[in-house]
Amino acid sequence: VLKVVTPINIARRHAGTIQIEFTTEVVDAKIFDAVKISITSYALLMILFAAVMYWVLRVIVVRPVAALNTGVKKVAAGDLEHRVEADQDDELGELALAFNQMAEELRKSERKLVETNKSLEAKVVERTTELLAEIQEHARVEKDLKRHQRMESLAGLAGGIAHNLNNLLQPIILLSAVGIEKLPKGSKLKEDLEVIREAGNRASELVNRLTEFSRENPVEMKRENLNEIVRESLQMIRASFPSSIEIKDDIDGFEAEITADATQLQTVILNLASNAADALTDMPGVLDVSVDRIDVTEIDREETPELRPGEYAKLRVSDNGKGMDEKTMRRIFDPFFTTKDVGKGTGLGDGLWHRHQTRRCHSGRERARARFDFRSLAACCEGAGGRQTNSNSYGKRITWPRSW
Amino acid sequence: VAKILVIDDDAMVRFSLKSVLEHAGHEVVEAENGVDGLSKITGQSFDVVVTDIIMPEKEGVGTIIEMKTRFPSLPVIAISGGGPDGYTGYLETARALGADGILEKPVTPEIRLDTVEACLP
Repeated sequence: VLKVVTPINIARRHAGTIQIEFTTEVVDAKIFDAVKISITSYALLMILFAAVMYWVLRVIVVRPVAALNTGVKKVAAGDLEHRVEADQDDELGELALAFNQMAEELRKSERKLVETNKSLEAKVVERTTELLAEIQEHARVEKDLKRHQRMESLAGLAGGIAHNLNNLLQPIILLSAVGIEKLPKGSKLKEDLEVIREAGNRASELVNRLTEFSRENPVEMKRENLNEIVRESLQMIRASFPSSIEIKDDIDGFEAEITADATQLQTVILNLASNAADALTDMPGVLDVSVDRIDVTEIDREETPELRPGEYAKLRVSDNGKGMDEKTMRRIFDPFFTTKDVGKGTGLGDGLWHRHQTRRCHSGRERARARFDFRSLAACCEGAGGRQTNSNSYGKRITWPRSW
Repeated sequence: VAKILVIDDDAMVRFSLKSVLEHAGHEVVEAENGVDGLSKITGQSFDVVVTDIIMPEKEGVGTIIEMKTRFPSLPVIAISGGGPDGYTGYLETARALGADGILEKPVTPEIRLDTVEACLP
């Protein structure tokens, strides 16, 4: 309760006292109400402020940080194309910008890495291919070398055998001759000795072939016109062939400048023709001689690994005889192989033996000749035996000389 | 008639050469190798010598060189069937070193006589 007491003075005389008393209940109530309202208002204001702050913070800080967080995770997972919004003009904006730049750099690095990787892979493939080609080339050279060594040792062996056989043949040939001269005409023994002498002479021919094989024939490699060599050979063939054999030629379509030993080449042509003539003895036959140009590609190399890709001259000598069987075909490069009896002219082996000799002499010169337009000669022998029958049996083309 | 020395390590070859030469009317003396041949040539006079190349003791090329040194006017004919190693250049070597004639084995009677008799005086 509030009490106010004041004296009342009238004409300076104390007239009394006024005492007013108030009860504070109403005031207290009003004050309480006012305070309550104030507190409530303040609380509401604070809540509102907090909400606004929450919204502001969410927009300005939380969302960009969350976006950055997501971005980091995506980039870490490999999505280097991912970018975050960086439109804020504050530290977070700068951070987002830096993040984006980092992602861009990573993307560039990765692209470069991928390109480098691809380039490396391509180089590896290219080098592997080169290496494989080198390995194949090496294997081919090694095979040639081994063959060459085999032939060398065979030549030595042949020479040794020839030496012994010549000594053994000497008495057969001389003593039979002496006996024949001593015996009277009509004597049975004289006839026997004549057979012995003939056998000795044939054996001597065989030994000669052995000896020739063991000799290194000098080879003169020069630039030659293949057409001219074939033309000259054809003149000789026409002069010696029986009229029952028709000789066709197709050699003027392509001028072939090659590197070769003309004499050896001519020997080969004549021997092939001679073989053809022997194959056509009992029938009206056709001998076909042609010179063409062929292009050997990488693909063809599978069939003819001995020929490098490039332009080649192809010489073909073929006839319409009965052809060769597989067995014969496989052996035609054997130096002493022949399908003919001794004394019955030039055997197949003899002709192809010259091929071998020529090939042997020409081997190893391929690189030196690579500068020529037509660095090689491939004689396509569809048979010292024919081409119209059994085509499957000798379908595989034989090229010669191997390393021209 | 000539007196001929035949040098060869192979008895069958010597015998056959002797036989064909004697049949042609010549006198033949045999020798087994170069040493034997040189010893025989020292004691007797010959018109021509026929010698093999590959022989034991003393081979033909050395024999020819020695014969030509000691008896320059004596004709020497070399015969060979090639070496056991396949080498066939012995005859050319023999010719280069003084052989007057060369013959490849097996020799035929005709060539044999032509070559030997061509060397006779």
